Amino acid sequence: MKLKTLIITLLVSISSFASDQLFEKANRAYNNSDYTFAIPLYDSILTIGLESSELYYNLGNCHYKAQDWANAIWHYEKSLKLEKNDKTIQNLELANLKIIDRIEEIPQLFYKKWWSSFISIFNTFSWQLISILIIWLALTIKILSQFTNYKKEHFLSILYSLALISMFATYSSYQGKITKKEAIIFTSSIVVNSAPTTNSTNLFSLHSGSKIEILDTIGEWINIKIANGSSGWIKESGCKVL
Amino acid sequence: MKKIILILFVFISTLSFAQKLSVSADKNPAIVGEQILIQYSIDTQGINFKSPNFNGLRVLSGPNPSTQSSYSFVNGKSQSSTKTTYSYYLKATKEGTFNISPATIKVDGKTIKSKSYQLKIVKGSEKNKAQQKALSDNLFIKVDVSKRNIVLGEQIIVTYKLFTRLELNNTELSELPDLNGFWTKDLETSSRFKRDVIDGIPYNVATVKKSVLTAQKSGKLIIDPMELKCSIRVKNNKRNRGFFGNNYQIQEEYISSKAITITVTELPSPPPNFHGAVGKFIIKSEVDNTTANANDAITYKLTITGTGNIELIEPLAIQFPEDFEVYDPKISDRIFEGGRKRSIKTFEYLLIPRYEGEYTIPSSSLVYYNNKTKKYVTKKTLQHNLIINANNNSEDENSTINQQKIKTEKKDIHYIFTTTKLKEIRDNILNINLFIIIFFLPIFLIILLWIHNTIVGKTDTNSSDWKNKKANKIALKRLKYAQNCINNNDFDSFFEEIEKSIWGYFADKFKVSIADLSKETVSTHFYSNAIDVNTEKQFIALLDECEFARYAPASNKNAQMGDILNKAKHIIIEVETALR
Repeated sequence: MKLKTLIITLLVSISSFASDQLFEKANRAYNNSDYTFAIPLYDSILTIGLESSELYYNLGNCHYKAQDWANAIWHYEKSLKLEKNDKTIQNLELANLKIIDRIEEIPQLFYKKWWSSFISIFNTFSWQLISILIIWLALTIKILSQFTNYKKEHFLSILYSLALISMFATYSSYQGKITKKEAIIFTSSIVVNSAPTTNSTNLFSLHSGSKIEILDTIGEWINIKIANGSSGWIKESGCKVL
Repeated sequence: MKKIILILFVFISTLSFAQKLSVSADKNPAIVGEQILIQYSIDTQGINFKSPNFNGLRVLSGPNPSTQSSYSFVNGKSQSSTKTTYSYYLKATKEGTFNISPATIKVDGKTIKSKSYQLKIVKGSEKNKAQQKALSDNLFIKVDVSKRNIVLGEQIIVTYKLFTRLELNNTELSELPDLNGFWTKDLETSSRFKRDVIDGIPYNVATVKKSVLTAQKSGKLIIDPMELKCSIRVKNNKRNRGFFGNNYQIQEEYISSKAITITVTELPSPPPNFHGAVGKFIIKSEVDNTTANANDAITYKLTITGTGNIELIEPLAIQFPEDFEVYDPKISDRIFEGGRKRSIKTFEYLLIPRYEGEYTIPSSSLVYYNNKTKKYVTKKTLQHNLIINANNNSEDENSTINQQKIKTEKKDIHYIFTTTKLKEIRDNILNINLFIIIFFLPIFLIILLWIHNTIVGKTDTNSSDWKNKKANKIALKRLKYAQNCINNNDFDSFFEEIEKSIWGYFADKFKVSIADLSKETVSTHFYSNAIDVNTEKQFIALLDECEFARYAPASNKNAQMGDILNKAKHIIIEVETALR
């Protein structure tokens, strides 16, 4: 048992060392404009089982330079899922200019925008930790005040409200990142049907690089929704889930 | 019957005879190089004569039409006849049988066709050959080429010289050499004859044509022969002197030079900024002013001197500063012998600096291939530093308006991240059920505590402090107006307020209507609520004191007011705490 854990820790440390080297090697290849060589190097880090926001960002850059827009967008989105970053957002905007479809987003209400930007300060895990921390802190203070003369009525009520806010934030973050499934279209052109059968009405067509939200799955068909609010059914094989 | 047939025959024959286009040659067979006269004649006048096709025979001249008309008047009968002849002078360049296709002519709307004619050309006799040789010995074109193996872009000079020992009347270029693959420039030549001796034989020599050729493509390039038509004055051998005592006859001869093959080899792997300059050059750059005011013109002069294909040198790519307005260069050149001798080419750029500052015109380079050393050479110009001062003219006001906006026209993605912290790929969140348990457990505990507090809270000693606080608050609220009266030194209304407040408090607290307010009700309510008798006494005493003070005020009013206020406060607090 001891030996097993030792081997595992050893393996992980070796792989992380090797993957750092791979990362640097791939960066050098990128510098030499050898993008087709850099892509498999970055990908090999992913196959080891390691990831990072920067790794996905660099991969997105490689695909961008290789003019594979759908892949570039997929990797930028993936990078943003891990960590929000201005550079990534700007590059994603540029990549989105290159693709065929221009989807007009429905403008969000201002408080929704504030709320979503507030949620994106931390990731879901951090929100979970924060809300747990706050509520346990509140409990300890409450118990302390019960048995001593140490009174903190105001502080306690602030803590309660903070706990409530962080709980909602955790919920939203969980909804947005874990429950909500998104994908990028990878086939050059795909027809969106009104029902999960091929002989149903063709509603509109999407082209590679467009972002979709997956609402439901029936067999090989998925119910999708795009940013302008339209929805329909496409075959799952036409897109790659983020 | 026979008569009629005869008449008819005669009629037809005359008819057909009249419309015949006959063809004849002055000699058949003829000798190679001889001049042959071919004549097409018809006995009427015709129009629209179409030349035959002389397959392979050279037409020296023709068709030369001529018309003969005769008119005779014999025995009172007039007779007129017309004869039209089209004549050609031909020359055969090689032996064989040549088939001349029929010629056509239109007469009275009818097309008349001649017969096809076969002309036989045979080799000249020995005597004739000797004559020909004598001619080619005495009259020939020599081609001089300065070099036969060159590289791409290198220049050669081709000189055509006419050598003669005969008396030439006239020379005429009949065929110019086809110079495919060369860039050609003719040089000026003097066509005067000079005397030259070759192998002891004196010749009259004239330069017919002199050109500079620049090879434009690689491979074997052929300089085609040049042909000259010479008119030679030949002494008449026969004694048939002309009427005017003309001793000489003009003989036309065609002479041609030999074709020359030039081998052009590709340049060895040219460097990227090589633009085809071959030869030997020097490059120099000048600026007329190194300090200038903004908006004043500066001249930048680039001079290339040397030998080679200087004419073909394009303006160099010069990186002028961005803030300079640059006009197309004025190109002037003085080229000698097509660049064979030291020639000069200048590019004059007019620059107008728009803004003040220090600028640099970087050095520009000319890469050329030295065909002697067979190497690429790079010659660089000097770098010029310019200082542009602000323009102090009245136009200066405009220059401030002329501010430039920084433009970022091109957008590109940001650079990659060079460092990263790699983590294992997994959904990095707490299990949702675990989270719910951890999060809602303290909430549950807090709620439990709260319930416990509300149930047990009344007997809890800890809460007495809090109750005192609350009683105090109520007292202060009730006596707010009285307090205001003290602040305003309003002695009269102070006691009234105190009384009102105290009664009001009592009425609110024990839900007594204002009509029922009396000292008796006070004692009954205090009693039923188990309030201390002392408190009741104090309450009554306070009310009495207030009433008394209203009509018989003390000397120190302020002290009295403060005292009464404190008492009132104390009583309210007492009642409040007793009621809990």
